[in-house]
Amino acid sequence: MSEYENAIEIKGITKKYDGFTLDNVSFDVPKGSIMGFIGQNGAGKSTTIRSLLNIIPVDNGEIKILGLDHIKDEKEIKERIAVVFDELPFHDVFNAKDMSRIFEGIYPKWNRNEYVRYLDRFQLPRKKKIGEFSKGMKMKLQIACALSHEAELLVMDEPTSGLDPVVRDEILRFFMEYLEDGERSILMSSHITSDLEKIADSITYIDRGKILLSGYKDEILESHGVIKCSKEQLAEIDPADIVSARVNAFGAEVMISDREKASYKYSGLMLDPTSLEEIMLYYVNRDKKEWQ
Amino acid sequence: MKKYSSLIFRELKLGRKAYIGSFVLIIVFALLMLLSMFVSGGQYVKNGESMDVYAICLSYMFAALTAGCIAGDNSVLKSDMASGWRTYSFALPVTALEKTTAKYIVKLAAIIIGAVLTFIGSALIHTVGGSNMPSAVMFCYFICLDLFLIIDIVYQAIVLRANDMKSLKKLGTIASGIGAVILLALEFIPSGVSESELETFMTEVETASSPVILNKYIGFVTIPDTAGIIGIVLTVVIFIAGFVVTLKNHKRREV
Repeated sequence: MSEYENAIEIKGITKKYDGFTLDNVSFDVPKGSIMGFIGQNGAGKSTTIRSLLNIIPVDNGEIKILGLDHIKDEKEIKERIAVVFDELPFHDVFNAKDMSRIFEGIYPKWNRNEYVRYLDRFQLPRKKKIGEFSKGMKMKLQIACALSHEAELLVMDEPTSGLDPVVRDEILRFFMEYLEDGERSILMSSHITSDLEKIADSITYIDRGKILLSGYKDEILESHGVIKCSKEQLAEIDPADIVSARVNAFGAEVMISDREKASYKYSGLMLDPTSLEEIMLYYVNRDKKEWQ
Repeated sequence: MKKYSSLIFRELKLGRKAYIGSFVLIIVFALLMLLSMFVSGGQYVKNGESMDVYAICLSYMFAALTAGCIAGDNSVLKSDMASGWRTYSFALPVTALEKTTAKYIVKLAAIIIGAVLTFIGSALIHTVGGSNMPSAVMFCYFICLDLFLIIDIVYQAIVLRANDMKSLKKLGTIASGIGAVILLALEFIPSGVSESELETFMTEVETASSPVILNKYIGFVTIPDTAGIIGIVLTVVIFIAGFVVTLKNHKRREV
């Protein structure tokens, strides 16, 4: 088994479609951490994840998972990782017991007892058809399957999308437990930034196929801030410091990317901390500079 | 082996309705034919009225056709694409060869069971009716099987290019249409056989000592007992071709 520092290493991935390009995407997911992969719908999160899993071939770039090449060592990698998609990909006619029967042959390290424990914790029936499950139950079943074969890496594409806050919180707690031994890692894409603010160690933000930000979550949040000022004061702020500014009849809210520097430079202005959601919003409008 | 056991379990669980339905139909057709003979006391057969025996032979062909249709079942393929399993399966440690092999093991088992059931039925009718049924019916079975295997290959080649539900529906409709055209085309290709030749042939069916092929393309031909072997060889070739096409399709990643 290979030793590795980063569970995922993506370098210079490019994938071209008509009207969209994944452009030189690079980021790493350190071992033992949770990476939140954020972006609005259509930004390229799913395309990146599918490239990572070799579901779609890339035009250029290099991908390593668990220190192994994602194409040459594909089979070994896939025995050691688990994947969760936003929609359950299991047929409606199966039940939870059938899924264990299927996966125990597919995954060498499938642990049936562990799977049954997760079914009990998630309160999932064993013999009820999957087609009769609620959306939350389906996601829990997918997660139970993902967590039951000693996977070292969990790759999830919008796993909490469409779930109510109670179920989302429950699922997020399971992910935290999954990481407790420090040997496992998670890459989780989502546009629900509040979930990632709760559990992510690092964040990568993608927009229109390009990586805008990538780093530790706390550092990103601490480095960004929002200045609340009047329109006249807005004119005094150096444009190089501005990500974008939201302007209305009463004044302006300006996102800056170096909060420490701004606290000295614009000491007379109100500077507030920000959230991942606000960062997303302001960066999406970065080309406009001023927007409403 | 454990992996194949799981994959085969999945194929069987998903395709069982179609397979069981087909096998039940075969048995129903065979029993209906036998029942009609026993109800009449076998008199019309013993009287040697050729049209009665001919009617029984032809009727049992429906059973053979049904058995042959089993090979064309693609309900599992459609389910896989509609549920998202095909995409998800790329994230699993299962190779295209393993997926294809499991699918074709199940297909082969269905073909063999269909062949055995068809043969048993035709042999029973042969025993009671005295006609030379088994070889002719088995050949009919293999020809039908080959036709549906070819349609299945064409269907897969088209449908497996779908990347989402919308294109799946569109390509599925196109593929089904092409399958229907292939079947319908058989009706409109001229047989080149005159009325008198047809009448002669009908007589031959009941009295010939060798199996007879009912084939609109090559005319009504009397062939030796190797007809069954030709049918098997052709089926093996098409089966292997189907395996290769399916393997290629499973290897193809999404765009």
